[in-house]
Amino acid sequence: MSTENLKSGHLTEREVSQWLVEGPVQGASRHVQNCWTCQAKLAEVQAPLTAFRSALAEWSEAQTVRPLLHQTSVTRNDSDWGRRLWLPVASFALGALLLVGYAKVPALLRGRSSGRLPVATAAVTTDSDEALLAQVDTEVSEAVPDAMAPLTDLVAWDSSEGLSPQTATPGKHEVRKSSTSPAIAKSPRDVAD
Amino acid sequence: MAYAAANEMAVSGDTVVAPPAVLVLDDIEGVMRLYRARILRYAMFALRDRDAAETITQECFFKAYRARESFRGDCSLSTWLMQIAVNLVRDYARSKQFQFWKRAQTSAVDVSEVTEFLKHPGSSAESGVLAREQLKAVWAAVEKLSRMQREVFLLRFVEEMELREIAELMGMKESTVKSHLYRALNTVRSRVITEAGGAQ
Repeated sequence: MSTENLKSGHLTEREVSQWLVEGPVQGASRHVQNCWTCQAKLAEVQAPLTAFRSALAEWSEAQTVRPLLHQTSVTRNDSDWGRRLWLPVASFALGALLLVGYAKVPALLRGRSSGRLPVATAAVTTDSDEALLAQVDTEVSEAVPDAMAPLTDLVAWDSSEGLSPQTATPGKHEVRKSSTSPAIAKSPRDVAD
Repeated sequence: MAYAAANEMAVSGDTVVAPPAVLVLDDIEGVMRLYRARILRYAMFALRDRDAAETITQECFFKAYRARESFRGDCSLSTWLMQIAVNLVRDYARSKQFQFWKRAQTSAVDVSEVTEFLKHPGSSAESGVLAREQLKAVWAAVEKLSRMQREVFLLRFVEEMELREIAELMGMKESTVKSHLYRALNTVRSRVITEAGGAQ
């Protein structure tokens, strides 16, 4: 213990550091055992250091357990390569499958065929497309919707009277009468005829 | 069984009769189980980079296994492994001098991650909070230390190595080790006391 401290009998700051770095200071051990003040001084520094040490030890132990499971060993021989490689290969295959699936799904959702579809599928699709276009064309070419057909028949009937047989289109009117407005076609006069 | 027994001797007996080195090091997985945490902890704090610490830890055991014939048992196995780790850390720090701080920013361990592992010394929540604050203060102070001071500080206060061992490991005089330690400890102490004063 330093002469300065012999008066008070307590550890100086320097002695506290010396205690922690080099171990118990000669001649002061007995005093510290009985002195609460010096014990508190030491604990003030020791407690954080202990907390730091224990937390780090626990943390590093926790880090150790996990990676050891996946670690490659330097003692294994080359015949283990097959076993080591299966996981990356399987991962790659799975990844490729997922990528392909991801690429296909949007096209399927849009209802379009992919450009890389087989030729036979493309031909079937073309046929169905043509049929669809023809159906649309027919429907569009209808000048008058079905619901309006009776009115047009009336107009056509009136207007066709007085026309020459070349200009009139009785066939069409007949078809319309018979197909779209049976009530008019089968009027009392027609029935009587 | 023989390996396990030899390993136990290596751990518990730094001063006990050393087991045949090659026998112990042949079971490198067993050696890793025993010493990996210690090496990782040291590398982690010396470099402050988790990825680099992992790499150096792996490399350390790989080197030890390859050089197992050269280990004659003059020092304990843990000291020998630590010496390899110290050299690897130095090499890394030299070679990555310019990238070092950048990398430390990206994969450094967060103090909050480590405080999760802090065991509550007391039963009260207050003492737990106090311990966390103290740990954070020490952590912050250690981060400010120079690399040499930090390494010496860790070897003494975390790994609890003797001054003579540290001097041997670091390749410096014992007086130099003491000098680094006093400076490091003063920095940590003043930080801890400041934090404690601020908290009150």
